[in-house]
Amino acid sequence: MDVTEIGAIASAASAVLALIEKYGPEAWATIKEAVETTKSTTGPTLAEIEAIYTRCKADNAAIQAS
Amino acid sequence: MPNRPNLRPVILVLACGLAACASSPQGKLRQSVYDIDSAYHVIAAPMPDVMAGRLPGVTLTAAEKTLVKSASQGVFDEIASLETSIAGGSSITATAVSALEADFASFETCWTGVKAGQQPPACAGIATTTTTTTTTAGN
Repeated sequence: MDVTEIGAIASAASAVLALIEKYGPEAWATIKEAVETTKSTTGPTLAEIEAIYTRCKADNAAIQAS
Repeated sequence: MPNRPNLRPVILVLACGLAACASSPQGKLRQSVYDIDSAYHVIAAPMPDVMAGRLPGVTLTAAEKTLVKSASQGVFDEIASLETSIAGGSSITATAVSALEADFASFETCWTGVKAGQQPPACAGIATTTTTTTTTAGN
Protein backbone atom coordinates (compact mmCIF):
# COMPACT_ATOMS: atom_id res chain seq x y z
CA MET A 1 0.00 0.00 0.00
CA ASP A 2 1.52 3.30 -1.07
CA VAL A 3 0.93 6.85 0.12
CA THR A 4 -1.70 7.52 -2.54
CA GLU A 5 -3.73 4.48 -1.55
CA ILE A 6 -3.51 5.35 2.12
CA GLY A 7 -4.60 8.89 1.34
CA ALA A 8 -7.59 7.68 -0.67
CA ILE A 9 -8.70 5.36 2.11
CA ALA A 10 -8.29 8.09 4.73
CA SER A 11 -10.29 10.49 2.57
CA ALA A 12 -13.11 7.99 2.12
CA ALA A 13 -13.12 7.23 5.84
CA SER A 14 -13.37 10.94 6.63
CA ALA A 15 -16.28 11.31 4.26
CA VAL A 16 -18.11 8.40 5.88
CA LEU A 17 -17.47 9.79 9.35
CA ALA A 18 -18.83 13.18 8.25
CA LEU A 19 -21.94 11.50 6.91
CA ILE A 20 -22.47 9.59 10.15
CA GLU A 21 -21.96 12.79 12.14
CA LYS A 22 -24.53 14.58 10.05
CA TYR A 23 -27.18 11.89 9.76
CA GLY A 24 -26.56 9.57 12.71
CA PRO A 25 -25.56 5.92 13.20
CA GLU A 26 -28.33 4.65 10.95
CA ALA A 27 -26.50 6.23 8.01
CA TRP A 28 -23.60 3.89 8.64
CA ALA A 29 -25.78 0.81 8.37
CA THR A 30 -27.17 2.00 5.05
CA ILE A 31 -23.75 2.84 3.63
CA LYS A 32 -22.36 -0.49 4.79
CA GLU A 33 -25.17 -2.33 3.03
CA ALA A 34 -24.62 -0.32 -0.15
CA VAL A 35 -20.92 -1.14 -0.14
CA GLU A 36 -21.61 -4.81 0.51
CA THR A 37 -23.81 -5.08 -2.57
CA THR A 38 -20.82 -4.16 -4.70
CA LYS A 39 -19.07 -7.40 -3.73
CA SER A 40 -21.26 -9.11 -6.29
CA THR A 41 -20.43 -8.63 -9.94
CA THR A 42 -24.13 -8.90 -10.80
CA GLY A 43 -25.20 -5.96 -8.65
CA PRO A 44 -27.79 -5.98 -5.88
CA THR A 45 -30.33 -8.76 -5.73
CA LEU A 46 -34.04 -8.15 -6.18
CA ALA A 47 -34.54 -8.79 -2.46
CA GLU A 48 -31.92 -6.15 -1.61
CA ILE A 49 -33.53 -3.61 -3.93
CA GLU A 50 -36.97 -4.35 -2.51
CA ALA A 51 -35.64 -3.97 1.03
CA ILE A 52 -34.19 -0.51 0.44
CA TYR A 53 -37.28 0.44 -1.56
CA THR A 54 -39.46 -0.45 1.44
CA ARG A 55 -37.38 1.88 3.59
CA CYS A 56 -37.68 4.70 1.05
CA LYS A 57 -41.45 4.17 0.87
CA ALA A 58 -41.71 4.46 4.66
CA ASP A 59 -39.50 7.57 4.65
CA ASN A 60 -41.63 9.33 2.05
CA ALA A 61 -44.85 8.34 3.82
CA ALA A 62 -43.52 9.81 7.06
CA ILE A 63 -42.54 13.02 5.27
CA GLN A 64 -45.94 13.34 3.65
CA ALA A 65 -47.58 12.84 7.06
CA SER A 66 -45.43 15.55 8.69
CA MET B 1 -26.70 24.79 13.78
CA PRO B 2 -23.04 23.89 13.22
CA ASN B 3 -21.62 24.10 9.75
CA ARG B 4 -21.13 20.50 8.68
CA PRO B 5 -19.65 18.93 5.57
CA ASN B 6 -21.73 18.77 2.42
CA LEU B 7 -23.12 15.32 1.71
CA ARG B 8 -22.96 15.58 -2.06
CA PRO B 9 -19.39 14.23 -2.56
CA VAL B 10 -20.27 11.12 -0.59
CA ILE B 11 -23.52 10.69 -2.48
CA LEU B 12 -21.72 10.96 -5.79
CA VAL B 13 -19.23 8.33 -4.67
CA LEU B 14 -22.11 6.04 -3.78
CA ALA B 15 -24.11 6.75 -6.90
CA CYS B 16 -21.30 6.73 -9.44
CA GLY B 17 -18.20 5.02 -8.07
CA LEU B 18 -19.78 1.93 -6.64
CA ALA B 19 -22.03 1.47 -9.65
CA ALA B 20 -19.04 0.45 -11.73
CA CYS B 21 -18.58 -2.76 -9.76
CA ALA B 22 -21.44 -4.70 -11.30
CA SER B 23 -20.42 -6.20 -14.62
CA SER B 24 -23.56 -6.26 -16.81
CA PRO B 25 -25.25 -3.07 -18.04
CA GLN B 26 -28.45 -3.88 -16.16
CA GLY B 27 -26.40 -4.82 -13.10
CA LYS B 28 -24.73 -1.42 -13.18
CA LEU B 29 -28.03 0.37 -13.57
CA ARG B 30 -29.56 -1.61 -10.72
CA GLN B 31 -26.54 -0.81 -8.58
CA SER B 32 -27.06 2.88 -9.35
CA VAL B 33 -30.72 2.66 -8.37
CA TYR B 34 -29.78 0.85 -5.17
CA ASP B 35 -27.16 3.45 -4.30
CA ILE B 36 -29.51 6.37 -4.91
CA ASP B 37 -32.23 4.64 -2.92
CA SER B 38 -29.72 4.27 -0.08
CA ALA B 39 -28.75 7.93 -0.30
CA TYR B 40 -32.40 8.99 -0.36
CA HIS B 41 -33.05 6.90 2.74
CA VAL B 42 -30.10 8.48 4.58
CA ILE B 43 -31.34 11.99 3.83
CA ALA B 44 -35.08 11.39 4.13
CA ALA B 45 -35.12 9.36 7.37
CA PRO B 46 -34.45 12.33 9.71
CA MET B 47 -36.71 14.73 7.79
CA PRO B 48 -39.91 14.13 9.80
CA ASP B 49 -38.09 14.99 13.02
CA VAL B 50 -36.66 18.16 11.47
CA MET B 51 -40.06 19.12 10.05
CA ALA B 52 -41.58 18.60 13.50
CA GLY B 53 -39.15 21.12 14.97
CA ARG B 54 -37.13 18.59 16.93
CA LEU B 55 -33.80 19.81 15.54
CA PRO B 56 -32.71 22.79 17.67
CA GLY B 57 -32.39 25.99 15.69
CA VAL B 58 -34.38 24.78 12.67
CA THR B 59 -38.02 25.74 12.20
CA LEU B 60 -39.66 25.19 8.84
CA THR B 61 -42.59 27.27 7.64
CA ALA B 62 -45.70 25.67 6.20
CA ALA B 63 -44.53 26.70 2.73
CA GLU B 64 -41.14 25.05 3.27
CA LYS B 65 -42.78 21.87 4.51
CA THR B 66 -44.95 21.81 1.41
CA LEU B 67 -41.86 22.26 -0.72
CA VAL B 68 -40.05 19.40 0.99
CA LYS B 69 -43.06 17.11 0.70
CA SER B 70 -43.42 17.87 -2.99
CA ALA B 71 -39.71 17.33 -3.67
CA SER B 72 -39.64 14.08 -1.71
CA GLN B 73 -42.72 12.78 -3.51
CA GLY B 74 -41.18 13.64 -6.87
CA VAL B 75 -38.01 11.69 -6.17
CA PHE B 76 -39.91 8.80 -4.59
CA ASP B 77 -42.21 8.51 -7.61
CA GLU B 78 -39.14 7.93 -9.78
CA ILE B 79 -37.75 5.40 -7.31
CA ALA B 80 -41.11 3.60 -7.29
CA SER B 81 -41.27 3.53 -11.10
CA LEU B 82 -37.84 1.94 -11.36
CA GLU B 83 -38.64 -0.49 -8.55
CA THR B 84 -41.79 -1.59 -10.38
CA SER B 85 -39.78 -2.27 -13.54
CA ILE B 86 -37.08 -4.18 -11.68
CA ALA B 87 -39.55 -6.24 -9.65
CA GLY B 88 -41.51 -7.03 -12.80
CA GLY B 89 -38.44 -8.37 -14.57
CA SER B 90 -38.29 -5.48 -17.02
CA SER B 91 -35.07 -3.79 -17.98
CA ILE B 92 -34.48 -0.23 -16.89
CA THR B 93 -33.00 2.50 -19.03
CA ALA B 94 -29.93 4.60 -18.42
CA THR B 95 -32.09 7.64 -19.19
CA ALA B 96 -34.47 6.85 -16.35
CA VAL B 97 -31.63 6.23 -13.93
CA SER B 98 -29.92 9.48 -14.99
CA ALA B 99 -33.18 11.36 -14.41
CA LEU B 100 -33.36 9.90 -10.92
CA GLU B 101 -29.74 10.85 -10.24
CA ALA B 102 -30.34 14.42 -11.38
CA ASP B 103 -33.50 14.82 -9.35
CA PHE B 104 -31.88 13.29 -6.31
CA ALA B 105 -29.07 15.86 -6.58
CA SER B 106 -31.72 18.61 -6.72
CA PHE B 107 -33.50 17.04 -3.76
CA GLU B 108 -30.31 17.07 -1.70
CA THR B 109 -29.66 20.70 -2.67
CA CYS B 110 -33.26 21.56 -1.87
CA TRP B 111 -33.14 19.95 1.56
CA THR B 112 -29.80 21.52 2.46
CA GLY B 113 -31.12 24.94 1.45
CA VAL B 114 -34.41 24.60 3.30
CA LYS B 115 -32.60 23.70 6.51
CA ALA B 116 -30.51 26.83 6.04
CA GLY B 117 -33.66 28.94 5.77
CA GLN B 118 -33.72 29.22 2.00
CA GLN B 119 -35.96 27.92 -0.75
CA PRO B 120 -33.54 27.00 -3.55
CA PRO B 121 -34.89 26.80 -7.10
CA ALA B 122 -33.82 23.14 -6.99
CA CYS B 123 -36.89 22.39 -4.86
CA ALA B 124 -39.45 23.50 -7.39
CA GLY B 125 -38.59 21.48 -10.46
CA ILE B 126 -38.54 18.01 -8.99
CA ALA B 127 -42.21 17.22 -8.51
CA THR B 128 -43.20 17.41 -12.16
CA THR B 129 -40.50 15.04 -13.43
CA THR B 130 -41.64 11.72 -14.82
CA THR B 131 -39.66 8.59 -15.47
CA THR B 132 -39.74 6.48 -18.60
CA THR B 133 -38.86 2.83 -18.37
CA THR B 134 -38.86 0.13 -20.99
CA THR B 135 -41.10 -2.89 -20.91
CA THR B 136 -38.52 -5.25 -22.30
CA ALA B 137 -38.58 -8.47 -20.33
CA GLY B 138 -35.51 -10.33 -19.30
CA ASN B 139 -32.06 -9.90 -17.88
